[in-house]
Amino acid sequence: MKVEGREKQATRVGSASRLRASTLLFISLFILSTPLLAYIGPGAGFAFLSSFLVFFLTFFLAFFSFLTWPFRLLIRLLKGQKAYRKSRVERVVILGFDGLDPTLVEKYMADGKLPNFLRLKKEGTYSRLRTTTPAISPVAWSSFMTGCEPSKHNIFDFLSRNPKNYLPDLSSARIGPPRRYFTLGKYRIPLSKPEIKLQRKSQPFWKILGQQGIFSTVLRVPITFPPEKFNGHLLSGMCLPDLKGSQGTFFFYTTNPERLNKKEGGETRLVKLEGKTVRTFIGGPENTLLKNPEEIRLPMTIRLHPESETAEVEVSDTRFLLKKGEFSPWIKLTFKAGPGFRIRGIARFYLLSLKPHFELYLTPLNLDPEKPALPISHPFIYAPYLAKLFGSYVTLGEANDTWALNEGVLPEKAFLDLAYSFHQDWEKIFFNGLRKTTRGVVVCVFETTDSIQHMFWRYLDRAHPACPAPSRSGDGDRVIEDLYRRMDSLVGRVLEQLGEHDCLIIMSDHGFKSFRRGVNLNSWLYLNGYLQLKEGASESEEWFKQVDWSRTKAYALGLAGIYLNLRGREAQGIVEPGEESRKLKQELMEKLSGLKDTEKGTVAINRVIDAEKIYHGPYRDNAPDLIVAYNEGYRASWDSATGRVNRVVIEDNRKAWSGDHCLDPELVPGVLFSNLKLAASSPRIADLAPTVLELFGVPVPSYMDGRSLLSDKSGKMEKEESEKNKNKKARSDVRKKK
Amino acid sequence: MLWWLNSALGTLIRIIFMPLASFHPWIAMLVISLLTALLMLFVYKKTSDQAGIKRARERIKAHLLEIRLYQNDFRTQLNSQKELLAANLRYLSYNLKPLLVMIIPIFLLLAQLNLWFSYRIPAKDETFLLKARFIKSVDLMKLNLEVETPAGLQLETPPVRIIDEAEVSWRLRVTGATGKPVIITVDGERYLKSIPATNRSLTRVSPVRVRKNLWQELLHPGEKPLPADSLLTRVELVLPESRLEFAGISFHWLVAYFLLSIIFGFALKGVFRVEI
Repeated sequence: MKVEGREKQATRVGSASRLRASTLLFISLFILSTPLLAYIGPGAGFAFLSSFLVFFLTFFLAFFSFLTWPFRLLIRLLKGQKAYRKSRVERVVILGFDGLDPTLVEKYMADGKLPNFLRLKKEGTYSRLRTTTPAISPVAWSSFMTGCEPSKHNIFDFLSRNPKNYLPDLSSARIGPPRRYFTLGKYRIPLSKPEIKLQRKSQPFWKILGQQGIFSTVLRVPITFPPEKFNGHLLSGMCLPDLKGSQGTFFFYTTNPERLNKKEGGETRLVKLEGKTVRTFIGGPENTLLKNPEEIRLPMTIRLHPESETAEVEVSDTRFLLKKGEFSPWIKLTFKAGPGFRIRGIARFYLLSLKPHFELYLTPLNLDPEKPALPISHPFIYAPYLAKLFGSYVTLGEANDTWALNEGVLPEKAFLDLAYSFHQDWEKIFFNGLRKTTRGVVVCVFETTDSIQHMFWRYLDRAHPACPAPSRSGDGDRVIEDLYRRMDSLVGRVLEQLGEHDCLIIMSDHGFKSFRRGVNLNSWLYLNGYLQLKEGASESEEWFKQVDWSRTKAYALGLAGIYLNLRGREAQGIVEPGEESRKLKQELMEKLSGLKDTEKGTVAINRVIDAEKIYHGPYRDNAPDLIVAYNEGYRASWDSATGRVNRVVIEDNRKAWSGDHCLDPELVPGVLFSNLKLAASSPRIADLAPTVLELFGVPVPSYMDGRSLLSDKSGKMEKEESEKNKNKKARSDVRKKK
Repeated sequence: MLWWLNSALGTLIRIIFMPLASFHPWIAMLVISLLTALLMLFVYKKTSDQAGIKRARERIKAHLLEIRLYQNDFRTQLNSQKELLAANLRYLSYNLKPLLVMIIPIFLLLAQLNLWFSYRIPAKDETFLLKARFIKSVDLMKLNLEVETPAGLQLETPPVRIIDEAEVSWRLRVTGATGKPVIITVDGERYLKSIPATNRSLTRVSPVRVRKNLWQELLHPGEKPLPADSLLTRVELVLPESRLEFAGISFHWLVAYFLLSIIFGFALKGVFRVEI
């Protein structure tokens, strides 16, 4: 029997037809696919499913937004918003360069090094811009956005003092613990959100514009944390804390015990090399979920490869290779506070050295913009949106790690690399905002100019105590010029993107001067009998630890000024308000104004300003009583700012932080450029808010101190006019009633 | 060559399902879905541009957020939608390579699973059709056809010849336990068609035996193919469809497999750090 006899011939299938069939297979699977053939596995299956979802969602969103457009328009009209009706411009673009100095700008323009700035000067406006008293960034930017003098926006310095305990507080925001908890074992579970309160008062101009339906994109403007609600998008800037709640705490790991000294603004950790491995940890935020809060530590293992000058870092379920002298990309770090509670941060690593000692630098722990632990943008999704679009970016308010350079941890080149990489991220974010804000306001503040000038000014000032010898200065001489050229290039790129009806304003909050010598006001007050130390103490550590408040009449804190130890205001005040305080202020002003630096033979303090004479707003009582206007080359010393007392009044500043602006405001004006012809006779920083309002045809609120640079009208004049109009209307109403 | 591949894969599936044969078919479905998910995650991770996929996905999410953020600006929103579609296409393009790599093994696997989950074996006293299809040039009326049924099956009808379709059908009745093949004799040449055993809840059923042909072999891998020059092109048992029941809803096995393997894949992608 021939069972399946013919089956033996099965192998005689032509190889050509097999090849053809194989080639056609893929095509057939795509074209002739039945439901059974359509499935291609969970990976690609899921991908295709989600792609379909995206297509569906896109069309749904498009359809929905078109459908709801008339209703949204109607709501706007019902709200009485008359956006853009009286507007003279389509967009106002404000580029803020923190600390851009007029003397240098003028010099470089004259040398033809800043063609775009020069073009603006020729075709539009250039002027020096008067800054605030004191000339400190948070104060000046607050005046910029509110159009008010400091006693109306309540920001007088980076730090404010708590009169109850004489300790410093961050002036811009207060982050308090949640009010209600419930306890579960070792945990304390919050039942409410932590209290985050903006201390800056008054209204920024973008909020006023928003009330009229005008949209704004506000990026990295100082003192915008926590973000306020308004019609637009905002990414917080200066004063936004890091994950530890500080203004930026870097980490330094070393095997060298000699480098273990305290680093200001950072945490130093001595580590041990086990073979070629270092096992250590990153000290994260405090775990407030615990009844007894403690630091959350993230274990970190570093394997060194000295032969290839690399190290392999393993941290937070991530492993990456670090090359000596190069920054890692942003690494995501997850701190586990408890079951289901995670705090997410990002940081960049820099391998400083492998031999003879291992040294590693880690940037401050920035909030992860993709999942921020605190609100850093308005609306909340704006920060995650930018992170998804461009990848992780720096969120810390004072992003550039000046302390790491100041303390000799980070080399100059590394500092600059890091600063410019942050700057590039901000440029991307800015240009994205510029492209997508087709009408309204775009404001972006770049702090790169401020940080780099602070740290490299010594190269411009050969008399500076920290100026390296010419043989060791390397490229340092050119850093600031390069910085200005880069900003000029940015201006050029912005000009290319502007439309015919767009207004560009470029400004800085203050200028710069050399900071050669520091004045310790607390030491001066101590030596002159206004500040007393406890029995037996001849000096005091920081934050007035050894100060005897019961005998102290005045003290200095921060960079701005002097506070009287006033009875009824300060916890242990001894100076009576009224006549005694006035006399004391007068006495201090007379003694300090013109204070001489005997060692150098120059005047250290030009004048001392009575806050009562210049501030008239509702928050005047929170201001320092006296504001010290230092002469060029001088500033409050590092010790004075942090409440240290000793017997040295004026000393050399030997830190890399060599340029500053916390001196007499008359000496450090900012700059103002515009493509419009502005009536710019002696403009002030507070004039910009009313100018922008007027450009959009929005009435300037009467409380604003600034005046529009488009006309001679000032906020005050408008107030008077509106008062007159009100009275006129009231009189006519009375007549009608009669 | 293909037969050997099908045979090897068939053996592998048999080994996997062997301990599960007496359980409910859902168990086998869960196991095979999980294994597929693991295998495909591995292949996907190795063959795809993981960084590119992550970037593309993030961009898609960004543009979705953008539509929400710029809802009052028509121009920006239209641009966002355009960019969203472009990002989606980019995302799809990243999936082409793993798709091409996976399509052959998945196809072979699906054809095998079809044998296990698609058909129900008729119960005692139920009837089903046996169909033999011939090449078009054959004169059906002149063919000498015989069918030998094994124990447990009874031939109920004489052959019905459908000339237009070159097909002959018989009706068979199940009379008891079976497992041995039916033999069809065509002009003296004998062809076997396997009949599945009936005593287990999970049984491999090969309803069709085809002539040697790449495409047909891919679709019907259950039995060794008929010779390429055979008069018969296909022998088929017309069996009732099997469905998986869950909470009163019946699923086609492919739907269950699709959903389960996607769920497993999605659940495990984080464990294996696969960007999908």
